[in-house]
Amino acid sequence: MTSTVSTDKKSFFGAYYLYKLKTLKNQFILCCIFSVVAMPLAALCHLPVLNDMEESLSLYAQPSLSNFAGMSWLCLIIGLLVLLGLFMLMPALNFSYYNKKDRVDVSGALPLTFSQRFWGDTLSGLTVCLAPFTVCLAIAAAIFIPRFCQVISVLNRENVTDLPVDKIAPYLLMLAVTGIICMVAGYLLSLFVTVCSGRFSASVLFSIVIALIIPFFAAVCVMACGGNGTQTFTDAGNILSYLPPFGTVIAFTINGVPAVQSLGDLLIILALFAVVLLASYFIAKYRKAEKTGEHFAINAVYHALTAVSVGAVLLLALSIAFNFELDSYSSGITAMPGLIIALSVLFTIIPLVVLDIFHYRNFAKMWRTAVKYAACAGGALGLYLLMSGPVSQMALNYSPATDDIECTYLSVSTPYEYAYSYSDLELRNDYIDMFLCDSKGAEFAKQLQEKAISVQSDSSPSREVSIDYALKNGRHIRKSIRVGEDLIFDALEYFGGIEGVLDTPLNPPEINNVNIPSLKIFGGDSYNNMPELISALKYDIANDNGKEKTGYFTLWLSTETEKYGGYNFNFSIFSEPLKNDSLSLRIPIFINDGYTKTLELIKSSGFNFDEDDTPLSFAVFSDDYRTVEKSYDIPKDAIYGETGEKIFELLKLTGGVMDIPKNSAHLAVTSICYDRPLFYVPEENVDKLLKIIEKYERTDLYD
Amino acid sequence: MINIEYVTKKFDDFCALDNFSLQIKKGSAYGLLGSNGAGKSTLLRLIAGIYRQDRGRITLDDEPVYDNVKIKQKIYFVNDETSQFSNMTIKDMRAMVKTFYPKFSDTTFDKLHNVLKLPMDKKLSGFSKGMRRQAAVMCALSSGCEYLLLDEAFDGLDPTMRIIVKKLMIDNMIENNTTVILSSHNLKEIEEFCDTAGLLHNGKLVFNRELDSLKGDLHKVQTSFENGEVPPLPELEILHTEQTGSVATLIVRGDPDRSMSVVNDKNAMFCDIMPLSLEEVFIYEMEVLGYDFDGIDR
Repeated sequence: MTSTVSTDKKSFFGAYYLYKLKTLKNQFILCCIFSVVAMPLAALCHLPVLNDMEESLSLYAQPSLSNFAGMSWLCLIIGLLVLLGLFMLMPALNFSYYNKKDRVDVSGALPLTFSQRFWGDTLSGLTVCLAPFTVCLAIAAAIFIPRFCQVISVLNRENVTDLPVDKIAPYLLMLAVTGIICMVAGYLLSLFVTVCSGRFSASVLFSIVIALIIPFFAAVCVMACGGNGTQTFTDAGNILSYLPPFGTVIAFTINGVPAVQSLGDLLIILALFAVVLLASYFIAKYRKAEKTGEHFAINAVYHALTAVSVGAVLLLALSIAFNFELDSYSSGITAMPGLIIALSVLFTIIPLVVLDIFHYRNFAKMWRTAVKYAACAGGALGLYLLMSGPVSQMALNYSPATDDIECTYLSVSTPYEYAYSYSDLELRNDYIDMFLCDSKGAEFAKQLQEKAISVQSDSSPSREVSIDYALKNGRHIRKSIRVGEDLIFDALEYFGGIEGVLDTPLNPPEINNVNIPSLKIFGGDSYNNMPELISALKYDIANDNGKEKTGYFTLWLSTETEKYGGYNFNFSIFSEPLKNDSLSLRIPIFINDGYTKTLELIKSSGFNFDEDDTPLSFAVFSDDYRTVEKSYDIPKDAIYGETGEKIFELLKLTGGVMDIPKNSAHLAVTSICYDRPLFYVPEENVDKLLKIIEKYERTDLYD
Repeated sequence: MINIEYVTKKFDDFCALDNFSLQIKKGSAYGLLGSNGAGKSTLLRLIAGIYRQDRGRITLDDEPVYDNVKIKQKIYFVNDETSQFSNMTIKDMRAMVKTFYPKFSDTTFDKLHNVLKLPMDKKLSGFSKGMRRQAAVMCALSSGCEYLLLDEAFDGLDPTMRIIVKKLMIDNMIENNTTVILSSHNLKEIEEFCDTAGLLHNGKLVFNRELDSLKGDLHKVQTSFENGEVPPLPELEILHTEQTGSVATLIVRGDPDRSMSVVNDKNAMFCDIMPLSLEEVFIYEMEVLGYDFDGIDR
């Protein structure tokens, strides 16, 4: 009468695994649908975009069926978000006996060991999510990568791009592995929370909390590290990339670099996965079956999660508050740190109380919430002091071993954007990029790092320097420091004598002549030519128009940068308005002779802004190059002047004044933008103009 | 044989079983009695290996139960819930049980299905509570397990179906020498079905005896005396006294013949000895333990 199936532990595991797979068939179908949408379908939708790139020989070309491009991104983003949601929801569904009381008896009574049940559930859930995801990823790669490489090869051949085709597939592979890692991480974090919680709602809510709070906590720790004003930033992207899923996504958004760049990275992430998985296993093993139905089966995990969340928000508030105070000049704004901290207390204490009421279901135990909150606040303060003090100093001082460095990239910025006029000419370009690919360069970068100064301690002219150590293992370590200008000058001199060290010339591309239809803009060597140039420009284009207001374009000129004024041309921004036959001319003029001089220049160009409604905008710089104000819509009856007092008067008349130096004598330089539609381009000339612009865009301007 | 030795199980501050010991013989039908929260369901879950005891030892055929696949294959537990299989059809349930219980009998299952005539392809969410219970019992009896643990298993069944299910169970016990542990609030059911019963109260075992002996131990004495009042009877262990008119009803523990002799020695006008139903035994035992039934309409 009875069957005589012989079973052992191994076959039971297999039977249970298969049984669980069968029970998850609905979830499997959902995963399949969204995997297909997110990957193969998105790849297919992107093919017309690639075709168009190939036809128009442009990386930035829009597809003729432009909706395909949008659809491919829509499919990808929505599909991936839903899939991540499914990965994170799966443990709560598959381990339902941890959050539904009536399921405990069924699963607990089955003739299985704990290990068989745990691994059967873990692996079946993961299989149901990961199998369609991986298969669809492979299909999408097969659709997209060969065609993409083909198109890039064509663009390279036509000198449109110089992307290394042989590196595209490995890069996309790393991206694919990173994608898988993000999904698996979402699953494992959710698994950890599920084995600790006792209700479905708690499992889902805290799975999201843990996935968000880990990278958030790491990010605020990094932020606190820069809290002493030295601007030491220990590559938040690097740290976050090891904290999938959200940390990795954020890091990818910041750096554009996948989390897995080497076998070492993969091993680190797999080790983190193993820790989470083993923690889940042992917690589940010692978890009591009767805890199902309670808010949290492992109370310590609930308290840890809420405490870390509260602590992270408080730490963030401390970092913002103290940094804000450092940057503040006005005594009227010193009240802000208190406000920030008060708000952070408010926004943390209310959710904590609500959650604890739900957790304890007993008001008599709420004193524990007060104790927990006090501990969180104390912990956050202690952590802030630690991070902004010794840890910050360690981060500032840390640099990789010279032998591990493949290449060093230095980027020296001007102190503040637009503040050209007070800088030495040699450094007047936006950024100086240096690729130092030998050990000497690496040593120099490390020396710069050692000589980093504190904004607090030194207000002498300084530069922000980004150092990017590209390591031999594929990762990057980035430092953002501030060093004295003298040091930079020394560096330039130092490197000027080293042959082959600088891959990029220090001087930006020089454009002496940029031809706009029938007009040579740059030919002179002084901003004194500006009225003449602007008048000529207006005259020629306006006269070519023949029709009124068919369009206008925007052009940036800089009187102080005669050597490389064309550097400010950014036609890619304007190409779209050109296509739409709506072009405007925008002239920011940087004048170091003061405000009145600027007005005179514009007036002498033939523009009478006193009589029309064109708004003026201008930026004011304090004498230590801080941008203190950018204001718009200056009233017509304002008294213009060139002294600090007058500028201060102006600022008071405008709305949205921020961070005004107490002493108006500190105000020094103005730059004025006269912004209005000036020139009208005849429709028949638009194509011609576009061609010229595109030519410069592709060759002269961005090389 | 199930052997429970000095087992303690606590739920936070609440002690469900306190230093609890019990032996249940193989092949017996054991009835678990007790008030709500007495620890019956906890005991069944401990025997099924769902809960882990805080202290003590639970063995089945001399091997520990918890996390022991070999032993758990011999146990089938039917709990007092019916909602856990809502998303399954009977076919699914059959497949599940067949997967995990190697002695599962298709023949028995089909036989039971012929009797109970439940729809095979309909989800249990569309079943009544009684039908879901029948499905659970079908699986239990077909599992081929040597030990069936039934927590309120007859709850929700109509009287006809109760008789049918009980008969099927008895057949199964006879055929396979199955041990059945049944917890129920329906004392009549236990009385009819079980040969041994145990009473749990506050996590402790009040008694554990064969039903015949249990019922024989307590008896009802109906008597009447000339002045209408029952004289002091210190020789008897009287659990309960009730006076209706001139007739007194005494619940007495001990030998019925002795009770008769003692009452007659006090010049009773008449004296009858009557057996107690299990329900009465339960009530009076519980009353001794402090359960106050006064004012409850029974």
